This record gives sequence, structure tokens and C-alpha cells, in this order.
Amino acid sequence: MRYSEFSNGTKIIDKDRGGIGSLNKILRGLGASRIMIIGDKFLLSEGYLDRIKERVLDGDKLTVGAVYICEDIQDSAGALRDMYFVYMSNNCDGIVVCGSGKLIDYVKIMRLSVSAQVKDVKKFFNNSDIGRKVVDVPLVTVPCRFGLGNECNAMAVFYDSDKKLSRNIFHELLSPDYCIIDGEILAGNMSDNEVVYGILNTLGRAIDGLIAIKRARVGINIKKVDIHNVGEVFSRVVMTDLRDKSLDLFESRDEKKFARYALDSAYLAKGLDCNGMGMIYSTALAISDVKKIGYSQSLPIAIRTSLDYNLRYCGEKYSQALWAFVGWEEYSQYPSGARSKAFVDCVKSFADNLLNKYGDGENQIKLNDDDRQEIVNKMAYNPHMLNNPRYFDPLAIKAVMR
Amino acid sequence: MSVRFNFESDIRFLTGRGALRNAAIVMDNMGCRRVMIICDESSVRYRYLNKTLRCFKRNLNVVAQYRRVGNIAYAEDCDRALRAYKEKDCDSIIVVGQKSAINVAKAVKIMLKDDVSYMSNYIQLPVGDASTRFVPLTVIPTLMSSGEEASNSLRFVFESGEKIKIDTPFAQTNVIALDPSMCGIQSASEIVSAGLYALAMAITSLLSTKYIDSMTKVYALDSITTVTDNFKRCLLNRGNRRYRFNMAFATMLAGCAYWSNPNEKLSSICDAICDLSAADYREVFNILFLKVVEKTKVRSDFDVYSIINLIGKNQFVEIKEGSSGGQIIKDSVRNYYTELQKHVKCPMSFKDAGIGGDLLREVLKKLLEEKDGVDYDFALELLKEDM
Repeated sequence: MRYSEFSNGTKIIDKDRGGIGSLNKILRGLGASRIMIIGDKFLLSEGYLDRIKERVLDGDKLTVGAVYICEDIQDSAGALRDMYFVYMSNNCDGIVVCGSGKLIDYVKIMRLSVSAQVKDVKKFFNNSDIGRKVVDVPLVTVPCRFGLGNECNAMAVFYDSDKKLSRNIFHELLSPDYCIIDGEILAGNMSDNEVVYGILNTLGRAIDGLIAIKRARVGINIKKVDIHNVGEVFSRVVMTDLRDKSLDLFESRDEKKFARYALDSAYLAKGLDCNGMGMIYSTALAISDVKKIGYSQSLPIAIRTSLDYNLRYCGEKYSQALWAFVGWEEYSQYPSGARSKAFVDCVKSFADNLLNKYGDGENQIKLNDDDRQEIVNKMAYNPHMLNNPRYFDPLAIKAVMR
Repeated sequence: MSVRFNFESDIRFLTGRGALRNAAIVMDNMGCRRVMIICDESSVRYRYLNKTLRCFKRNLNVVAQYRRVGNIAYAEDCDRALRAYKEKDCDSIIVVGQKSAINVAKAVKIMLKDDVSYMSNYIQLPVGDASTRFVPLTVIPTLMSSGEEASNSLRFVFESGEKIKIDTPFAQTNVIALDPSMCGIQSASEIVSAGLYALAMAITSLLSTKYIDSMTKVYALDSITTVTDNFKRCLLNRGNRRYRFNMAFATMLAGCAYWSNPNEKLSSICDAICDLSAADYREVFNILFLKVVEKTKVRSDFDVYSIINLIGKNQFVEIKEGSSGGQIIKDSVRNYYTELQKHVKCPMSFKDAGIGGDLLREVLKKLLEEKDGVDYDFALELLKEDM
């Protein structure tokens, strides 16, 4: 009977419910009139941003105030400053962002700044209590890659150049109003390699959600609350038949299948929204900070590390997850005592197969002792946010991180 | 077909101890300053209203109350509640109670959207396809919850006896707060019909022939496991609030799962039977569900193993080599009902529920007339044995 909250307010829309064709209607309904469209160079060159612009203008009453193309995605502070300037100077009152990963995070942070009228982003680090909605800023996200989950959760990552590490911001104003899943954009935009990382992202978040023990944040005025098993169920639903569905994506490259996979992933993000940081998530973030690589590329090591680190503590949950992940037929072939280990092995071999078969093969990350120490240091910066059943043990993490 | 848009944020679920207090905070953050409470007579009698007011008075300003909703939602109730809302210049609604109170609140909400003063006018006038006015609606289910709080449909009765059902996205709930203190003690038969209703809704939503999104799967799955884990305990320990809360939680989730993708045919037969008899909706639904499971042939391409993988280890799911998907579902449901009947008697047929063959024939006639026979064949298949 412990208190719990699940599901944030973001609405997810797919093609059956209008897709990007409904952008004009949605934005008008949300009370916007002058829209800022945000995307990156690739989306511009492929013509996706023009399509979105057309859809926004498709009807009366809306104008496009600005189209912002993010050039340097690595410079968090710079990108945020530019976006804020463009938004304010063009008198925009609504945002559509088409992109993924950091770009969506920056837009969400900008929305938070404008909405709460708090310009200094650093004030939000580790403090979700400050700021409440002063200005309404409708935000619609159109993800061009699936798996990351930031298209519909209430969390954003900001690289703090002073401390040289990625900071997480949790705030209910970060959750977008609408998330539109468009299979055509996803299937057309994602290379095989990106699909691999998208799948690993979804898998990583599902494993984190499965073993989460508490919620780190819920929103204004509500701090730590205990998690109900709904988060666990979200993870199990996503893990069910994930292997077959993933392989199907590469073979068919069907828009509809991409959209459904993205929907599953988006719902998972929505359901696990308040879980905070899982072990896989925080390890991958620390690796990406240390090695200066993308978050997704760090995932294979992070997944392996987390699975090995938690194996003794999550035997029962891993065993249940095996049923969902491999199906009851394969599950029943394993003896009852070996099922948790079997889950770990199955996930590892699945990740390896995906990377070898469809990945670009150039992302073999080598970690030396110094790297491992630095990764652990970065993780230790914020251990109270780590939502993991096993307490934070730097030595053990270093030992299992290979 | 044009898509109808409701621009409000998706439903937020607050459950467990402190849900009421947090609902007040959430409503405060949503900008609710003048709140109207709609509740049914039983909630007033059992002091659920007092509890709610105690929790809400710190954060919210409750300016109007409409507490005269009976067991049935009448169109007149909707009109009166709307008038009270307008007189006190309210900006949001809280519902405390069961199905009827929830239906009245939803009716007020949709009438406000289209600026209509009487429910009879709402039925006649064309309504817009986009929401124009945001009226935050918070539902606080009492007793075992009805599953209705998450649905977008509402039913009410005119003085003339005419029953109307409206299905519209504009009747969406914004916050559902399920607090253990609202889950009062109920009779065994009430628990049985609520629990079986939850199970029936959850399984029906998983067996849907349409595409089922992950949210529906999550709600259905969680509901099934919560019901099977707590049903027997709840029956044997009716004084234990934890089990009652878990059952109410399961019903709420099952409602979310079912109403996001309802079985229209099943619902319309159920509505028709309830319209012509005084039978309990939940009992009729449960009986029809059993018939659907027994009679309907699961199509060959239906991936039942995916559902089994989803449900995971469950004592009632028996997987035998060579069994077809449909057989596994039938066996599992039968196992569960057999186990349940060891502890309590639940109606398994229309005869048990006091519904005779004549009435069912009338239902069939009504379905044939009303919907050009669309649901007739399906209804005939289900009802022919009992006629």
C-alpha cells in the first residue's frame, strides 16, 4: 500500500491516430501560435524538417517563428544558450523538436527554463523542488530514433563543463505534452548500427526497470517514494519477445514494425519515468563522459557490468525475466537453479550477436585501470540517485567492468 | 474519419497511502483554485466525503458540492451538477464514489467543453472534434473501484427511462487517486463480482483481435497477477485493508486495459441485457466473458504463446504439449474458476443470475433492431444455450 505514481502526462500518438499529420491541430489545441522547429543537419538534408514545417503550417492560425538547426550537439551550454536566444527573440510560444538523444534533452531543458522562468540551469541539478510552471510552453517531440526514451520522460542530461560530467535533471516540466511516433521517419533515418543501439537502449532500460528498488523523483513537493511493481511489469512487457521483434526489424525494415517498436520503447520510458537512474544508465553515462563517446556506444559494456554486478542480488528477478526474454519453451529447458545465470548469458550473447551481425564493429572500447577508476569516480558523484538493489561498491564495479 | 483530439495530459495514477494528499498537491500544481466535488450518496453515508475534504482543505478551495447522485446517473443529476458548477464559478472537479458519480462528473465535463446547459441538448447538437476548455477531473474511487474511472465512456438515464451511452475522448479523467482509506469493507458477493470483473476485463483486453499497445498489456498483466495473488486472501480476510486495496488497484488497472481497447460487441450485449433487466453489470459481463472464452474459436494466427510469455509463471496457467492456444486459455480460466468456487459461490450462467430465456430473446430482438444486426450473430452464438 506504499504510495506510488506511474505514468507521466505525455500523450503518445502513432500514425493510426494522425501521426505528424495532426501537428497543426495538436499545437493549436495546446494553445501555441508561433512555433519554433528544432532539428539537426541530417534531418534538414533529408527533408524531414520541411515535412514537419509543412504539417505545422497545414491549416490556419499557426506560423513558424524560427527553425533552429543544432550544429554542435556536444556543447551543452552553447546549444542551450543559442536555443533560448532564438526562442525568446522570435517570440515563439510552442516547440516541435525532431531528433533524438541530446538534442531532445536540450530542448526539454530549455522548455523547463522558459516555463519556470529560471534561466540558470544549474539550479535544477539535484533539486526538483524549485520552479513551477509560470509560462505555458507546449512541447511536441518527434523522435527520429527509438530506444532512448527521452522523447517522453521527465528527465534530461546536461553536460556540466565545470565538473566535467553529465548531470541529470528530473522535473515534471521536462515531460513533453505529446510524442509523435512516425514509422517513416524512424525507418528512413536509422541505419542498422543505430537500430542495434536503439534495441540495446530499450533492453538496458528494461533491465534497469526490472530490478529498480525505489523511485528517486516524482515531481514537485514529492521526494522519495517507493516503487510499485508496475514499473517491473513495464519492463517485462517490453522484454517479452524482444529478441524476435528486434531481429525482424533488420530483415523487414518495415515502417509499421519500426513504429510499433518505438511505441513499446516510448511506453516503457513513460512507465519508468520516475525510476531515476538505473545501474546500466549511470554506468553508460559515466563511460561516455570518460571516453568521450556517445551514450549508446557505452551500452554494451554497461549492460555486461550491471548484469554481473547484480547477479547474486537479483536471482529471482533475472529468473522471471528469462521467461519473458526467451519464452516459456526455452525457459523450461534450464534447470531452476541456473535460470538467473542463463538470463545473464542470453542477454550478453544477444547483445554480442546484434553488434557482430548488424553493428559497425568499430566500437570496441578498451578500458584501462585509470578509465575504470575514473568511471567509478563519476558514478560515485551521485550515488544516492542510483536505483539499484546492490549498494554502491566501487571495487566490485571495477572488478566486473571489463 | 477525423480523429478527435483531447489536448489534456494523459491520466496520472496516484496509488497507495498518501494518494489523497498528493492528489491535492497535483491539482494545486494544475492550477485548480475553485473545486467542485461530486459524490454519490453512499460516499456521504460512509464518510468517504469527509475524509476527502479533510485531505483537500489545506491545498484546495472546495466551493461547491453535489452529493445527491444515487446508484444510477440521471441526466437531471448532470444538469443540476453543471448548474452548481457554473453558479460557484468552479474550475475543476473531484469525484468521490462509484460508477454513477463518475458518469455525472464526466457529463459535466463534456457539457462544459461544448458550452451546453442540458444533457438532452448535448445529445442533439453536433459537438466539436477538439477540446476547447480544460476542466481538470480527478477521480477518487471508493470501495472496490469500478474500472469506469479510466474509461472515456459514460452512461446515464433520462427521466423517461431512455438510456444513453456516450463514448468520447473529451470525457477523459486527468488524475486517478486510489487511497487505501477509501477501500471500505464489502460483502463476499461484492468482492467476487468485482474481482471476476477485473479478471474478465483484463483477459478480454489481451485477447483482442486488434493491435494491443504496451500500455494495455502492462495494465492487463498487472491486473491479472494482482487478482490471482489477492482474490482468495481478500475473500478470506475481508477485514484486511491491504487486500481490499490490492483488489481495487487490480480493478482500476483492468478498467484502463479494457477501456483503451474495448470489445464493442461484448459491451453492447452486456448493455442490452442490463437495460432490460435489473441485473448487475459486472455479473452479466463475467458470465458473457466465460461464454466468450468457451465459445469463441481463437483464430489460428493468434499468438497465444506471446500472451503466455507475457503472463509468465502463473499457477493457473497450465501448458500441455500439443494444446492449442485457445485450449490453454480455456483451461486456465476453468482452473481459476474451479479453485474460486471452493471458497465462494459465483454465478456462472444467466440462470444463476436470475436472467431467464425470455429476456435473452428480447435482448436478441433489440440487437437485431437497433444495430442492423451487426452484433446479432455474435450474441446468438453466446446466448442460444440459455434461451
